[in-house]
Amino acid sequence: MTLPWLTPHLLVTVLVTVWALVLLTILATLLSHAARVRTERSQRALDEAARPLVARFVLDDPVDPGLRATLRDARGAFGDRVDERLLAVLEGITGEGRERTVALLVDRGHPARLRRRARSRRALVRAAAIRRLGRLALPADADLVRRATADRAPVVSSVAARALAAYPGAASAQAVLDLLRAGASVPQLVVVNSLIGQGEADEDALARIRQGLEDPEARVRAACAQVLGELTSTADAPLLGELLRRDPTAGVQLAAAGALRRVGRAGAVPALLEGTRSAWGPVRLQALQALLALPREVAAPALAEVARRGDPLLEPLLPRPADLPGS
Amino acid sequence: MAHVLAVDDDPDILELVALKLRSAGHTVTTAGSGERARDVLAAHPDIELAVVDHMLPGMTGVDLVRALRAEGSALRVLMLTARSQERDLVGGFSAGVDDYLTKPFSPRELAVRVRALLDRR
Repeated sequence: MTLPWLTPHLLVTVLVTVWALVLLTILATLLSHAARVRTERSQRALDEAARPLVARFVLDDPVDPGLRATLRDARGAFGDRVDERLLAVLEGITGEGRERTVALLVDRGHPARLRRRARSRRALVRAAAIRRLGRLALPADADLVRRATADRAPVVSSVAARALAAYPGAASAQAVLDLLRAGASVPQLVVVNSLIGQGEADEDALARIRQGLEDPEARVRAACAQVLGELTSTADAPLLGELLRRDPTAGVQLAAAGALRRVGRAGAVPALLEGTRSAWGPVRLQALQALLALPREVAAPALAEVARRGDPLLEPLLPRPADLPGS
Repeated sequence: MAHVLAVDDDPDILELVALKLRSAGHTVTTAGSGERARDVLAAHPDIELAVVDHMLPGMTGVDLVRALRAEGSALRVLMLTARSQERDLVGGFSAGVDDYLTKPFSPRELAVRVRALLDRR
């Protein structure tokens, strides 16, 4: 078969065009890489210059007014790096130095810029802005951060849930629980850590977490049980015991038994003993572990009863009868 | 006043820790990783105390302390740890950590704790 239109001239043209496109692509990649390296190098140099100034500003007592003015008035690329370095130290310090750093960022107009970025069309820009607002923890931004938990982009709602740890209270705890209830694709660890932070810092948030044990949604009950276990208040042991005893969901029972392993006390023994009879193996194991975590003289009768039952799943974990008090 | 090693992969926190301890009169050497810290300690046998971040990439703070204790080092160690890692501290103490401070921390408290650990000599 012959192709009369396939002339040598056409072949050469096609080959030259293809090669030119390949070379252009390589050139564009190299140029973009070089630009990126240059930007990173320049950012590193600016960071190296900003870091010692920021550290001195945070630690000096009293603050050198000249240093404060230098940092407050920094603009352009250096100003951006100053903002980044100031925000970075907020992660690590408490006390007067932190308050001073927040005040400087406010003077630099940084929160206003972040609020604008929190309305960006790009999810990653919104997420970065919300994360930074969480670091600043200005009361004026609490509503904005709470609203961001309902953002359509999971990356933003996840960052907002984490940031709410800086705004503890009933409304913030509720926003995190609502997110969980809606089944949003937010990592469980983020939700739990946010609630732990809030429960530690605020009684109203803690009360809301306790109410969550009665939520119609199992994943909310389980998360609240886990959080109460992490907060390690023995006052919650009766609530968790009730949850272990009555909740119809294996995941919730497991979370309740796991929490009791941390906050259990003598009053929880009957619920834990019931837990060792659960139809679900992991719940039986967790309940036994919680019994074993109690003082041996408190748990001995329950452990003896578990031993009498001869559950093959639990037997390997049980202490020898001779090691139980009163044997 | 003592020679102190500060180990943290976060350069901003490292700068703060070093500056605070220097302002308290100590000589401070810094390292950005557990591996680098071991090199620094080998090169500076006069270092009496290390402020070590718990979550270092690669060799963690606890790994570093465990390795030092295995070599018979009596270096005093103050560990910086995030609140969510407090539970891991049981492992840290059994590895040979002398004291810990939870991040975020007060720079003043850091200096006081370092002083207290050094006074134990």
